[in-house]
Amino acid sequence: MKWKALAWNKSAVGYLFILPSLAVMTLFVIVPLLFSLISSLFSFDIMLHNFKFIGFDNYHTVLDDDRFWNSLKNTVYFVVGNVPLQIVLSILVAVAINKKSRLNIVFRTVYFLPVVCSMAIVAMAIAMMFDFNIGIIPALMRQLGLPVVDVFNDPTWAMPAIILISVYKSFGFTMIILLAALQGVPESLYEAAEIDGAGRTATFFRITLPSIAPSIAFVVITSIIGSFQVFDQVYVTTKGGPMFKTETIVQYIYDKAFVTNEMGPGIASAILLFILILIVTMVNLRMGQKSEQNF
Amino acid sequence: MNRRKGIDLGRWVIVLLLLVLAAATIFPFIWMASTSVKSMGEVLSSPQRLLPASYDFSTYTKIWSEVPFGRYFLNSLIFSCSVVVIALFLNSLAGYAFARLQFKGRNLLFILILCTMMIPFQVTMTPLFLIIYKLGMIDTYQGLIIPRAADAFGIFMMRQFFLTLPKDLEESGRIDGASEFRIYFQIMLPLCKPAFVTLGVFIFMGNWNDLLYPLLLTNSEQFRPIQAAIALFAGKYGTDYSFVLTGLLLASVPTLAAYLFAQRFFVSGIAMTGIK
Repeated sequence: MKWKALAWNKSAVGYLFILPSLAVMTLFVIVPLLFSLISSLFSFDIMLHNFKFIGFDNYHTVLDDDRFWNSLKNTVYFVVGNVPLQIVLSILVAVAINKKSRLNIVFRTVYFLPVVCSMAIVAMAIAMMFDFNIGIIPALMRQLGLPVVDVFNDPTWAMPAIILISVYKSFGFTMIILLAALQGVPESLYEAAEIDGAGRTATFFRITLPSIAPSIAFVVITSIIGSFQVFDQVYVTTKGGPMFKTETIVQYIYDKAFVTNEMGPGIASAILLFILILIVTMVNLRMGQKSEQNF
Repeated sequence: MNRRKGIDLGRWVIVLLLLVLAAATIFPFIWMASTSVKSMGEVLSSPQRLLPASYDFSTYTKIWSEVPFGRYFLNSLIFSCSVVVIALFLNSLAGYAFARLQFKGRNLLFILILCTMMIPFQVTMTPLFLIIYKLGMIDTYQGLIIPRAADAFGIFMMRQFFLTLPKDLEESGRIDGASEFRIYFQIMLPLCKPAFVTLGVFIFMGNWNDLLYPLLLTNSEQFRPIQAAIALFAGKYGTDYSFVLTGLLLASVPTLAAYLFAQRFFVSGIAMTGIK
């Protein structure tokens, strides 16, 4: 009898311990998620009145909107530009500063500095640095007689600039994760390679990369997921311009939901983004599994 | 013999490239700092100069009076610090329960919580706004703090941490007849310090640097945290670079300080989550 009471008591305690966290997450994450899914099939206003079931009309509105497809195109452009650049850069840097030394610790600290600041601050600072009239980069380029472009107002160069900001801000973070993975590679592997006469490049491609492949896969996936959600750097620099050339999906969602107050399409487009991310993630995982089989 | 020479040269090239990268990384910070102490005239007339001809620190005093910068700063401080304190407490409670307490559906609930990590913020942000709006908590501190009071990542990290602690500690507590809560409070909690530092800094920085979330949930200068505030007033001050950059730099101080303070813990903390 006493044992039973003790067991029940223990169970209750468990529930008690997780109750506050679970309550917060239910109310502010799970309920909104369910609300999004369900309400995307309705039309309603911001006061949550006039709920009218309209089936997939919200989705049709979004999918018929050229502006949505434009934002999708821009987002994919961003992802394709940002992720490989960032991953390659952080792999190279992580491998280069892997050995324990004072200098490498300094490098590590410096490369991580942009990660610590907010994306908004980094983006604004870089946008100002590139300002056509009073930014230092164009000014120096003029001094050197090089052609100068108004980068953030140029339809061709605006998105590459956004990508530059993103790589600058985040490569340190990916680098740290890969550095940790590199710590796990046994010295003996490198020593064996050296004995076999492997040069720096051969060691890199045949030993280092395969050893940290799971971590690379991890940062690739998280990078892609994060990149699809790009918002801050666009909002504080171009706001989607010039001529919607940098408007990303989240920019579109934000505009629909909070600027023009079209809640239905706003939520529908967010769900479409969610589905897109899920698909891309699953494709990535599949590809990762396949290449693991090849090893 | 030949090989050794080759490696040395290669290494020097690599170090050179790393130095160039480091210079490029630090450059914006140096530019921000030096431009923030340039006079307005110099900003406009000689943008190509990195260092100012004369130092003008006036923006560092002006910024507190021209815009409610102190208020913005305070809002972020209250927001971020409160979330840290509450989240550390709630996350460690839940993390401990998932790691060491037995209850029905424990694994299922944990997986459910992990799954919430996969939901992009944009899917929940609109309904979240509506919920906070209906609760009358738009433009309040509690509206900002409470939704962030618990997060899946924090619970996950704390659980991982508790799993590494030896079981005998709690066992001896139970034998002595202590309640689970006392065991948690007096035995487990004091041991959390390293995990708390890592997770705490992480949570602090994540919330201090957040733009979209505070942008949604506040609409007055009174409660607006600093990132949203700067994004909004930067437009107004257009070419007054020294003013805006002063704001940007001051807004970065807390996170830079937290980073430098917790540097040692930070790298191992991320490593713990990255390679698993």
